[in-house]
Amino acid sequence: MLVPTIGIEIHVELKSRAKVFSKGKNEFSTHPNTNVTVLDLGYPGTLPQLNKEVVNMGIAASLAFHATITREMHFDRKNYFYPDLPKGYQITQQKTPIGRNGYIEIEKNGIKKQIRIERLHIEEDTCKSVHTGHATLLNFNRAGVPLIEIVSEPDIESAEEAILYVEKLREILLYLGISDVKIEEGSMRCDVNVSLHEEGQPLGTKVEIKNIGSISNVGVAINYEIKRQTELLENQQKVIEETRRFDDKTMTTIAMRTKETGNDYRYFPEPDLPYIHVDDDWMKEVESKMPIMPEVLRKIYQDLGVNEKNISAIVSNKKMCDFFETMRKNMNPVILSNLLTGDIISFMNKNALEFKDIKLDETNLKSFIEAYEKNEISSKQGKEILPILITEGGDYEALVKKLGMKQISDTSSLLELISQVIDENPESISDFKAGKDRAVKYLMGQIMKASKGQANPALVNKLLIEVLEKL
Amino acid sequence: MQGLTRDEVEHVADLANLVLTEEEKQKFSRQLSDILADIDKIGAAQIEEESKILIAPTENHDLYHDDETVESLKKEDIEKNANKTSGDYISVPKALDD
Repeated sequence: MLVPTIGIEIHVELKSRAKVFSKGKNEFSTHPNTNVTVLDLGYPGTLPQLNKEVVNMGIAASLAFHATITREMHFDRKNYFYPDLPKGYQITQQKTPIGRNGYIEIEKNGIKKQIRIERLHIEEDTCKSVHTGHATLLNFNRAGVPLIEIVSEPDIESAEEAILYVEKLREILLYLGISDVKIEEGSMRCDVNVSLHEEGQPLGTKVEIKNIGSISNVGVAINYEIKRQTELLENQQKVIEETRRFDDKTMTTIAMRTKETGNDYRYFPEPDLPYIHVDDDWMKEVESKMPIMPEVLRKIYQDLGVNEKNISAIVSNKKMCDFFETMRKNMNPVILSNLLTGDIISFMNKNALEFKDIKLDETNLKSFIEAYEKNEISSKQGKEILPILITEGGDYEALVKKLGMKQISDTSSLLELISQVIDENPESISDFKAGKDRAVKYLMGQIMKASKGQANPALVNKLLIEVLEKL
Repeated sequence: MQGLTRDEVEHVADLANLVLTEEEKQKFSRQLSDILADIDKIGAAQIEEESKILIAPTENHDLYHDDETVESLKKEDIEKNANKTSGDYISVPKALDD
């Protein structure tokens, strides 16, 4: 039986203010060549200087992926001839990647699996080239944008695992806040290596797939490639070591070019950049500024008693999670998680609102949840109040008073209402004594009506039966 | 040290997109072999502490910039150093090898 072996190389653009080796702005611009310096254009005589913030981000990413930080680093030149790199080489970390031997844990049907990360390294992005009829047009805004390349070990065995790996990796980087990680916009790029081999035999020839424009297409590309290679091997044909590109129109992979061997890049140490030493203090400083990682948050929420469905919904939405984190310490986290993943988010989605737009704050949400917990308001009333708090905000008590909605849970007031209604409905008492259950329902209805819907129904029910039984 | 073969010279020239004449191939093969022989002398040097070998040829270390930005070059300045431009782009002969 043929078994697939899959490895993934992911390039992620980092969100530093400046570029990695120049002070050019690391900013997206719709106008070509408006964020460029002499370094980005590869002018002779210019000298690169490393952006410290990029190293900070590299350390944070390495720590988040449980990788070992390389304490003494240098950069290397990767030489190749192509107009997207006018100086003739890319500055990268071949020999001393900033992080090694990390892992990401994925979970499939409740079973956890570690996908090992071989290395993470810092490098510069190339310029963007647009091919027209006769010419290639170059835009250097992207040249020198810092990248982190994250290379997995070939531990992935299916398209499904690949998607889980990419999603998890993306989630972690999003929490670190070091990249936008938008695969559709190119701030995250996935190259996938796929090979097939007979079980128990050595690994087969590997094919690299580039240009995959969405996370779901990572899965489509892998499944297509498994099918293509299986057909070749079953027909006694050879798989050629090559780079293919994913074509999203046909949802297939197409051969690009015969892969150059590693040697052809003629790597050698970058003599223009001095050594980098990462000591314990530097690492600790970065670590102290790192936000809590999603896997840790999951554990905290489990301990708080939030259900798995709510945890997934909250943690997979960074903005929702930030909101939950700010609010949860002051109120019942379970009710908060139910409201947030239910009524709040569905109202927001329906009205195209984002978390930055909503007026719920710690004070009014806390009062709302407390009232809800104490049954001072019914869930039906809650559904009326919440949209107003979301869109208009303001003081909870004042709003409830204005709407005349406060649920009456005060026993003496309720008993007063109950005795009043009982006095007015003597037949119902006879019915109750004759064992007719609907008498209770009728009386309940009358009490709710008398209270203008504000009586706490559960409490009324309980008190009413107590009163009736004593009669 | 064995000299560089003619095939190796052709391969390196090919990587650098250089077209060499037969005469140049012979000349560069000789020159490159001499350079490699000199480099071999460095490799043969006895070094007591390997960690003292400098990969980046400077004893300075940890020199950074602090993520501050500068203004971009002006379009006119970029154009001065480009053979050809097209709109806001720098234009080069079509690169077929995509």
